Amino acid sequence: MSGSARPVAWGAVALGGALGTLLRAGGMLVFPPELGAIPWVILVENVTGAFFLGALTGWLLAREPLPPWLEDFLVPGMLGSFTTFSALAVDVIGLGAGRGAGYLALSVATGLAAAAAGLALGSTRASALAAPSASPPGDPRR
Amino acid sequence: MRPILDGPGSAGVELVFLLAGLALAGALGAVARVALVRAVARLQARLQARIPARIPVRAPDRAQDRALTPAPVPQLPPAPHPFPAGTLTVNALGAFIAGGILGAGLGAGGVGWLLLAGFFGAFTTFSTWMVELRLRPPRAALIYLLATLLLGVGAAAAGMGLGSAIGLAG
Repeated sequence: MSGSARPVAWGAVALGGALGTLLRAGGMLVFPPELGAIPWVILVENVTGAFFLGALTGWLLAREPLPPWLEDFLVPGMLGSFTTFSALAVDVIGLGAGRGAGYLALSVATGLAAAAAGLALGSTRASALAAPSASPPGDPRR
Repeated sequence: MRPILDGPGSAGVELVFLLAGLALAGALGAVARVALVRAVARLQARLQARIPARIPVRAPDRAQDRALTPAPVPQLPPAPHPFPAGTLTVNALGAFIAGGILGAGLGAGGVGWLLLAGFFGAFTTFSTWMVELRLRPPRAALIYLLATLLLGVGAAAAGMGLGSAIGLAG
């Protein structure tokens, strides 16, 4: 979701969305969530997705952009669909005030930490690989 | 896979249909999300373009008047990270409808999986929310965090309430 005016490759978004959804739902099929329990599978998937999206975003901000179709496939497609907010929100309500708030706080805290770790890793990897040229093209701290 | 899909047929065939359905629903959800996010971003840009014209120009500069040269129109630089209204919209809308589906008792079985885990799972996103929070200055991030928590979880609660009311009436 670069926000630029370039056209979106809808096929790439759709394919990424299908793959991200299968990965997320696959986790729920292999480890079925227990009724009334903290949905650990979704928590792990959301936090993992936040880490990878952070790493990819950190990389993209520090380096030349990927081919547009690949960015559409990976960013709004696969990683956007692998993680979910609707399940988080309805589970927070379903768990009740106390545990729901705890689950929400845990999701946000670990998600933010994972996104930060991903961003840091992605941008440092990108800078390390771009080291030969003193100033990489583009704006590294956009 | 018996508990997930009910009805006749072998479990293996059911699983294949479920996975194919999930892939299709997820593809549609992702496309709908990107389309709505971009529509909201366009609307946002159009609204933001109007704002500078409405901001009263600073008190006229006397020296400029005497020189008879028009004062430069103050131009606000484009915000580097405009408020992620698109992500907030899809997340709140998706949470509302998912809550409605669950509240109405339509969340069980294969159709529930396709709608909730498939379409609305892909339509809403957690990773984008987290990374957008990290890319914003602290104060703006706090506003975005609270807005999503309030509107997103509030929408899920409202949807569940509405869904169960409709489910009871229907």
